[in-house]
Amino acid sequence: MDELELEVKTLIVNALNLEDIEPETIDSQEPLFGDGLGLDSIDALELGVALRKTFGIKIESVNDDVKAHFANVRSLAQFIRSQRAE
Amino acid sequence: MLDLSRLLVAPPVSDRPVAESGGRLIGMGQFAADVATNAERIRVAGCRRGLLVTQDAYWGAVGLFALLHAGAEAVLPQNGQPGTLAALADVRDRVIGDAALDGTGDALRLEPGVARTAPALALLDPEAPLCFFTSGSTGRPKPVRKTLALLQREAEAIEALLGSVVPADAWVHATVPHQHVYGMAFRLCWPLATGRPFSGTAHALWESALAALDGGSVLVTSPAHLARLEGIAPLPPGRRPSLVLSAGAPLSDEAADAAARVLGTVPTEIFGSSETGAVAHRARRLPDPAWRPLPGVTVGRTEDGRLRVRSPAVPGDGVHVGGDLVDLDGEGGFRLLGRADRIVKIEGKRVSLPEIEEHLRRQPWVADAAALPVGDMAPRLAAVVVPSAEGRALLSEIGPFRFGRLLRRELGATQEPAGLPRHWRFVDALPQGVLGKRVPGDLLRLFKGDGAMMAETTDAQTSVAEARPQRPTEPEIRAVRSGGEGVELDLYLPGDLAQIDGHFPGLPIVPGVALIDWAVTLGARHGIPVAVARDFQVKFRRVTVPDSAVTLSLRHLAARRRLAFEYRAGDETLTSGTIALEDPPKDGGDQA
Repeated sequence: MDELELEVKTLIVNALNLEDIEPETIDSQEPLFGDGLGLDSIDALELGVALRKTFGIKIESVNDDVKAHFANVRSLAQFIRSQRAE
Repeated sequence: MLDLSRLLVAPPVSDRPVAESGGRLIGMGQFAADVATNAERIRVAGCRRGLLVTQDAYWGAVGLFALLHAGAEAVLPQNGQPGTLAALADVRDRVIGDAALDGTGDALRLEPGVARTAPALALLDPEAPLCFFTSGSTGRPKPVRKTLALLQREAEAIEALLGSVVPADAWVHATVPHQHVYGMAFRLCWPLATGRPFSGTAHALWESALAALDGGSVLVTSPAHLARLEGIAPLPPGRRPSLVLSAGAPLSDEAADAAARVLGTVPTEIFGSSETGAVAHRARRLPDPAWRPLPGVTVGRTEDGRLRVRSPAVPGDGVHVGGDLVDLDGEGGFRLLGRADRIVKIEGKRVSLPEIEEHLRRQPWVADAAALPVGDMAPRLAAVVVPSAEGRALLSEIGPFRFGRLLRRELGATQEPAGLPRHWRFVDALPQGVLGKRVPGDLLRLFKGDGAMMAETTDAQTSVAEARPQRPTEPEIRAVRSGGEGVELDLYLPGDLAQIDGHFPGLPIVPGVALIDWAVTLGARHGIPVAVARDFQVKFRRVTVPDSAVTLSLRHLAARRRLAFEYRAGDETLTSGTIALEDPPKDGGDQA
């Protein structure tokens, strides 16, 4: 499994205090919001805090497609990689 | 101040924006045209009571004024979830809204008007009716009726309080919805009545909210956002807002500090309710200051300790008594002590526990359910569920996490995120008290295995004890009888014990940890040699309530190196158990 994706999954489980689930059982392409993991707007705020703290990521402006970055574990991992490359 | 009832009658021709929506600036002329066009469509549709559901606050304003100008009642549901709209089918004849309604069948979708051809608008009746829905303590959403005149008076009180610190042309931005009374007052009515432009967007993430802020603007937000500022760099002085508003729940000291540091402005907290509108305010320079009423508002305390609000913005006789328990400070202000009913505040949102339970029980996978808040400072919603036969099969197939998520998703049809339980326990039967009444303490214990939650609880208790040293932490000893191998104490448990803070808003109980702790401390003081208490075995039979007299029996079981204890009320055993004792560590060795 992609190491960064596993790191993101672990971050989601720990930051959101999800119970009864192992990071490995989250599918990288499973939607984080709505169906799939069923996260909501409060989870999104918490996830934002955790991502800033752990990966130092910055979402610079309104134009950044925040929703697309937060779609699933894979898109989040790609976003973190693109920030690291800058 | 502008008068909302004549706002759109011959609106001034000017380029000054009223609002921003979808990246476009909207002037007064366009606003009037949008309202006139949609008022005409509502009239033609024969709508008398329209359920207004909008995600953009500008279209919320258009829909509100269009309904009122069409002579129809504007009904604002507590959220736009499909299940909520379905449940309100009998109180409306049409659903009216913007993109929030995508996929809803018979809805009337608000459309832009053309300024050149739009009909002129007449004066509005100040008594034009609005109805907000809010969480009620009975398990059903509760209607709160208002009028345009009440919203006008509330806006006037807000301007009298805050107008002097906010520039006349400041933009009003937000992270909270405009569908509730707080957002409606501060995002829509106050800006419209004072000529300040407002943004239609409710920002979900800090990054986009901060990108929108410019120097001097207003940010209408809540503890849900202010408590999650970590990792955000402080705003440069030129971009600091003139006013940061927070409402829904008290702001923690940490969140107030973080807001002042990052946003450069000490947040102003607003206290109010759907029934009263904004009632009081406080600036968070110091921890837990008293709330001061808004201009024109006075407060009192009922005999049973509830807040009584007298305000020109309260419908009917101008007086409202709700479920908030308070202390008056003798100078016109007050402090909040909790709730007197099963309404709890989660993430600043009013959540009705009976309503959550009712919706859970309606699901085919659920036989019975109980909802409760867990954690003290930032309570989160938890649910204890007895699965039905069908539910048990599914639970064993997909596991507790996915099963909990499934129940959450179903609840999501009627509830906002705050009303969705974050912690789940699946049990064979709900703990029942002797009289068939549910015992909250037993429910709460089901969640005690959670490390993070325990840490939160402990911190909260520590800070409560530090902040209020005047509150007792121990029972009063009324009588002591000793004999044989033990001692019996008659105790009075004061109603203001520090340990009962916040565990169950509106339903005070003495937590089990306090009972165990007192058994050890009182035992040590009455001749039972306790150096270190190791583990314990406890049986909770009945809930122990404060402001009551109990008897505590303590026996030293020397041979077993245990302390046996029993709390009784009359002849009934409340809690009993034994605690393992250890001698003072002399040689560093463990128990033999």
